[in-house]
Amino acid sequence: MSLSQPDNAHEAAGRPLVVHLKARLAIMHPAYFALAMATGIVAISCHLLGLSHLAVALSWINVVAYPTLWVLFIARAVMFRERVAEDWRDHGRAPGYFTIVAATGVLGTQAVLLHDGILVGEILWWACAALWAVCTYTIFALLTVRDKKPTLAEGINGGWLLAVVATQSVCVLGCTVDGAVPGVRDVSLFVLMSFWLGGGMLYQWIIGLIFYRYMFFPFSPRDLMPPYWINMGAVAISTLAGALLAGAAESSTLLAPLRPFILGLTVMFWATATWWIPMLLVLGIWRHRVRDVRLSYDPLYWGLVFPVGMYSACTFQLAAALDAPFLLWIARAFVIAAATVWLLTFLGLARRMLHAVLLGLRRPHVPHIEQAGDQIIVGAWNTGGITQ
Amino acid sequence: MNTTSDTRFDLDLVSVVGHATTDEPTSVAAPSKAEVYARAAQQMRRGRRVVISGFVVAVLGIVAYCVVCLSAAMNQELGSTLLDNPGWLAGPTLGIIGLGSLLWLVGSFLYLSGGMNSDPDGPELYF
Repeated sequence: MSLSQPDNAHEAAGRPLVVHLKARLAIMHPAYFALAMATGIVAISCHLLGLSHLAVALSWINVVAYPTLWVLFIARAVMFRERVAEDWRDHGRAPGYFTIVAATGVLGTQAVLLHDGILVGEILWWACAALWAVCTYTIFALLTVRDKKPTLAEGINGGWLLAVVATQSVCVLGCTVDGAVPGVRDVSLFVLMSFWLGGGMLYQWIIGLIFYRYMFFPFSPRDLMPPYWINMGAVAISTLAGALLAGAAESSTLLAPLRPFILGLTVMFWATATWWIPMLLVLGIWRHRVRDVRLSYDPLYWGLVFPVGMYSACTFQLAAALDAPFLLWIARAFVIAAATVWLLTFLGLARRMLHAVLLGLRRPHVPHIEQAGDQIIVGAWNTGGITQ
Repeated sequence: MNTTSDTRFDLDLVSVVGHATTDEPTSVAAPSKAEVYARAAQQMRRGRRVVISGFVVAVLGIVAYCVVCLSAAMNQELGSTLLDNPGWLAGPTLGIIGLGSLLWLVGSFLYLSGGMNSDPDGPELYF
């Protein structure tokens, strides 16, 4: 039996993978940093509740995932400059860039809590604050001055609340390093409280539009994307920021008088987050059971994992701030849910990567003649071994 | 050299591989389209079953791990006796998570490669 293949067959063998990866990179969603956000917050939540093995494993996965995502984002910016520029002006995709800010904040918090990396936390706080300023004032300015704008029904989605998550993540990381940045502790805490209150105000603006869109515009299952869970996640991170701020305010002469106000507002955020959970579950059941939308991996599902993990972490910190141990049961239940949905989403990602590898290992589409005994099979590789 | 035993060996071999003693030139016929489809569909069904098994095992593992570790933490905090010393169960439950994940990946591999092989106009995989 003799096989004849062109000399460049080996070179061609790698092409399907390269072509597939380039195609995936071209359409990569700006919100992909939600993977690092979700992994980081589930790690933090596991750490707080004593699931130490899982916390360490997740934190190391995040340490790998975060720089990998940066490499992919930079590669995309270099290779597909037009698409990236268009993303920044797109009402649907632009808010996804806020995940970079939030992922940086979560990574910094994780570094401080799990690895005692105070210096890393401080550096990442500065990076987080700078990224927040760039994303906030670039995205909102570009969307404001754009000539052609979508209708409210087409343009708004839960992803817009990532602006709130990004803002609160600056406050959370700042409180985690105990106001060591940007300078004098009282001034730092005042700046962090401004971030917290600003994020809360942003939530009021955006959630009003989202609720209006829910109630007064046609709503198809396709519209109910996983980022709608950020409706809950944004107030959950506001709760976490408030609880940490209330803890830090105890020893601050400037903020101590405001502590009851901070705690009251924090409970309001937690109540709002809790209100959203049954609503989102009902809508999820409607989407997948009643309207039969197939449940398959989508990177946007990381936007669902993050709120579940965040709700667990914020409830734990609220229980500590209010000295209300009964809340710990809720935190425990949600950490189980968070770890489960993280694992399922991660396995979906692993399956997507396996698919890419299998595509890369397919034989090249090279015509050849294979002679076996006295029978000639033409192009057998190209036909999956089927006789023509 | 024992001729009798060699003959017995040949007979055994024939019984296993069928018509292996012919001197005629061998002819390798490619499988028909229906055979390839059927084999690929079977592989995909098997893959789907393994994926579902992996899903169930992994979820059970993670729930068990969380319950074990949370019980251990509560024992330390409250001195409760829900489980006397459940901390040692953390390792085995992590193993269950790993097993479930592995089953999921193996099932995904079977499913995806079956799906690719079911395409008669597409190229084969290397393995």
